[in-house]
Amino acid sequence: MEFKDLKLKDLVQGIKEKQFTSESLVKYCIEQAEKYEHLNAIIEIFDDVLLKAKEIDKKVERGEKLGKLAGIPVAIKDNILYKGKRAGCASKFMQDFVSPYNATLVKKLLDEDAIIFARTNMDEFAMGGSCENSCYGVCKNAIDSDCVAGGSSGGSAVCVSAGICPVAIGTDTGGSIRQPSSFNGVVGIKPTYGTVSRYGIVAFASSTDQASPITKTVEDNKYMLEIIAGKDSLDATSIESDFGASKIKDKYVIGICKQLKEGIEKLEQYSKFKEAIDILEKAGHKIVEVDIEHIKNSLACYYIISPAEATSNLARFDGVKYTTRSKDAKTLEELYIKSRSEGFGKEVQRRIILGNYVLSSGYFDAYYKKAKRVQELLKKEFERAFEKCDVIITPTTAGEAFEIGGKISDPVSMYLEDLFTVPASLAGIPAISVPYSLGKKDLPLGLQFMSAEKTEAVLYDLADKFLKLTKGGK
Amino acid sequence: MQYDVVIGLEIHAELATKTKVFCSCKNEFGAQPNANTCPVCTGMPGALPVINKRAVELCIKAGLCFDCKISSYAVMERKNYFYPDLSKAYQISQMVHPLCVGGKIELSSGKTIRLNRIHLEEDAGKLTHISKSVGSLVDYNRGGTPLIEIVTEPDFCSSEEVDEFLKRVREALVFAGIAECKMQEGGMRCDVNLSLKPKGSKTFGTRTEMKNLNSFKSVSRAIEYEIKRQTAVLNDGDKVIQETRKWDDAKGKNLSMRTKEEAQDYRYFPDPDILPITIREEDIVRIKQEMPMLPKERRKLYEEQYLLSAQDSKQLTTNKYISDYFETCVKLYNVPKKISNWILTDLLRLVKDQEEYVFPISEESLVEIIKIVEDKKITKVIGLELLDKVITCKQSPLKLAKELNLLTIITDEQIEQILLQFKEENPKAVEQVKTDPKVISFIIGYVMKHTQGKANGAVVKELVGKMFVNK
Amino acid sequence: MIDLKHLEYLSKLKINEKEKQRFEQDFEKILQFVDEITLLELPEEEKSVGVTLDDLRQDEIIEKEKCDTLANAPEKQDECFVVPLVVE
Repeated sequence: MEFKDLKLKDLVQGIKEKQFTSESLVKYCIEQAEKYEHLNAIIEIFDDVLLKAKEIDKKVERGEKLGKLAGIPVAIKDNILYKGKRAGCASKFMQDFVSPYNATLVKKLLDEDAIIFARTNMDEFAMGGSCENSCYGVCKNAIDSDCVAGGSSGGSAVCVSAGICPVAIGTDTGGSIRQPSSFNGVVGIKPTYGTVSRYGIVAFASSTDQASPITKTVEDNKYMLEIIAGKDSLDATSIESDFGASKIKDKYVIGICKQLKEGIEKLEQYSKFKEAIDILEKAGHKIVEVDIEHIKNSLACYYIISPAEATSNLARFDGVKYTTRSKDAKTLEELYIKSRSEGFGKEVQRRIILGNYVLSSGYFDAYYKKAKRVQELLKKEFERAFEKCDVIITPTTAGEAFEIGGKISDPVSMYLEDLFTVPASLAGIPAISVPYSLGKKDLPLGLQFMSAEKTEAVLYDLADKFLKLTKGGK
Repeated sequence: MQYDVVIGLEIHAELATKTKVFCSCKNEFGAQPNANTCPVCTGMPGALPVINKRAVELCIKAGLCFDCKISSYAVMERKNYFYPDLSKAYQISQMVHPLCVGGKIELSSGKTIRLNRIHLEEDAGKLTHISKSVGSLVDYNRGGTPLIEIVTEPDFCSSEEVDEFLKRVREALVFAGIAECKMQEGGMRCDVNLSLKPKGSKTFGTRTEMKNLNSFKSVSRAIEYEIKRQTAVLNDGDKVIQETRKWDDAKGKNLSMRTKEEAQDYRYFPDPDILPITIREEDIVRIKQEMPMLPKERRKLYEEQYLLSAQDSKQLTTNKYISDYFETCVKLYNVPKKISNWILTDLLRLVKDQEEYVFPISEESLVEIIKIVEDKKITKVIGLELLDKVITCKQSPLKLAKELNLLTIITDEQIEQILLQFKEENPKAVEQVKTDPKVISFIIGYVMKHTQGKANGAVVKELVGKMFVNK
Repeated sequence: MIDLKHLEYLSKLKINEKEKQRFEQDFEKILQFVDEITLLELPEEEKSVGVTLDDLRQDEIIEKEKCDTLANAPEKQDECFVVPLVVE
């Protein structure tokens, strides 16, 4: 049986209608994982997946009520807690950590009879844009293994792109789903902040962290998001949303941000981007220019706020309660310093120090407080822009996937990777990346659509329309 | 040289909530180590705090007790520092936007102590230091217990003022149901900041801090000791060092805690996991309505409206239980003076456990007994007998009185008959009673003997007057 | 120049001596990159809207799924986490 081109919904249907078993699907995924082992997308396939698949098959046999993901293997990023299984944020520090409880989104997947298949590779603690900062080694691009997978949810994107697993869950803090989705030619969304509960997901920057699905198609993505979304009593920042279904239109007003225009025009992919705009315009959508003054400060703003929050969020990893403990620590202070210095990787240490810099007395007002103010202004400016248009369009990334090792020694050039993805993260608005073209190296390029809070339905609708016009960007 | 003493306090009180402040674990003292813990209060990766509404309300209530301004906008912030009892390596507390601002408490001398603020925060876990080879044990049961921190201005100048203030704070917190303030369990702790300055000087001296004093007595002793210590230091021409000093209650002295090489920098910032809280006027009105009257107001009411003595009013307000009990009784039967007497002389002696004040009889039953007595259906003496019976049998007083045949069935006519009989037997006494009122008790005793104590003494007295005296 | 020693103290980290110079160079570059924020002139701050008391959690004990909070402890004894003796 060839499962690769099957869509998620067809797979669900197939299992329900006994065209094939969950076991056969899971076996297929395991074979695929072996075939693409060199990509290093998967850290671990959970040991009970075949057992779980058989259970679902029995349920099907007995004619019991089945969940929306009955028998479907779902891969999860290594920062999502699945009770009784390891979760380590691709960090040496958490190598032995076994999740003592389920993340809310894992619970939702299990409630719908999904098979939680594997944990996927990532940049350590979700810090990075290439999936090279992993204690498990570099995760490689699904299309060109000399290039990076992108990050931090590189493993999840590669998993879906290579056809190892029909769907994977990633997390996005400043672009960590959208950028690797773009690099691997798959569909990734960062929903409105709070749409998916953060409970049980190891926090990086609490005010912009969001988990969400990476899939092959827009339709599958929507199907998955609806399952894992919802207000959660364990996450005070989570929200209830109908995804703005009533805002779906035949023709949309599409905004191009004036402040980004010049930068986009300089990109190698500009002609392709222009083409995409033309296609949309020809199809009857209206293109307008919108002002988002502080969008140009969003990268700097993000690289102040996210390290500040991360510093505090990562302080709990202290060698006392669950992380590995340095063996030669004699005093408490030594225990802290040695455990943390041995446990955290270079980039994580850099951001912890940066976070403490911007929070420390004397610098707090100049950096953190001001960055928060910029974030507020940015939110307002987006709101105003969405009075003029339904969707704002940008490329997802500046270019196609770069070569492994190409940027790892230059942190700032790596941070610049997030240029187009960070604004939506800071504003808390939804943004989707869909494959739209190929770059010079014939690697995929992603197109990003952003819309107003709680209007994911609009993004899915327009993305779907666009892909139909371009036949999936191929 | 003469010095002025300058003292400011930070008081921590654990709030009387059912659950912890950021998770729904039980808020209880004395459980097995780490039994009341969950991912949130042990700071597991991925766990998130969800704030307890009741804790916020109780903090606002505390603000209302002490005339604070209740903020319309409050923010929880993270106070970042590493310590093993702090599971997340940050304490969720309040800095820039506390729930309550300002406030004051007036001492009996008329002096006003100003409050700086009252804010909400979480308690840390407990460390038990075993030995060098074993190390210290960490128990997070207490971690995440809701606390209020009451911060005063440096307005105190003696341990006596501090002592009165602390007692007033505890009384109010307990009365308003905000905190139980069980000091031996660490339910109320006090940090003392103390400095000296030359008498009359306007500039403050260098202060020291003594943390976590957990009895009124140790607070007073610690203050007295520190005043003496700083005086000696200054008189020797030395400088007081700004530091935290640990009070050793057993030794009766304090010791410098190793001064840290690096200055503390808590890097406060708003906790992104907890959204800012807007407090509306209607919330404050509602919480105000829930506020019970505080002891001071109650004493005023008792003295002015119920016409009780200052002594009785004070005794009735020693704790909220007695005071509430008393008020419930008065609501049922408006004879405050009588009820006060019953409670203070006849019920208090029945309370065995001074910590857990509970009267062994319901307000309804007590009032019923008082009513039967006041209606002269039984004497007070029989009433007390009935009280004991009700407590042991747990039955309604009236029913029990009937069953035990206690109710006075003695009519005035019957008493008159007995008095006539008395006159026949004791003509001399009848003559004497006209001039010597002391004889009356002899006559009453006679009547009681012939009625098995069921006659009402007052009635007998009245009839004696009518029949023998004013004839 | 940044006070790396203080930042290490706050972070409970020790940057490897051999990497220190490189670290400081990279760090300076990052600071230059974020410094534009400090130069911005921004309009007055507005208070963000918060949640109301009604949105907060009720004070009720909820029967939760058991979670063994000590399961991952690197060292434990008598149902407690163990750390080197803390000198107070």
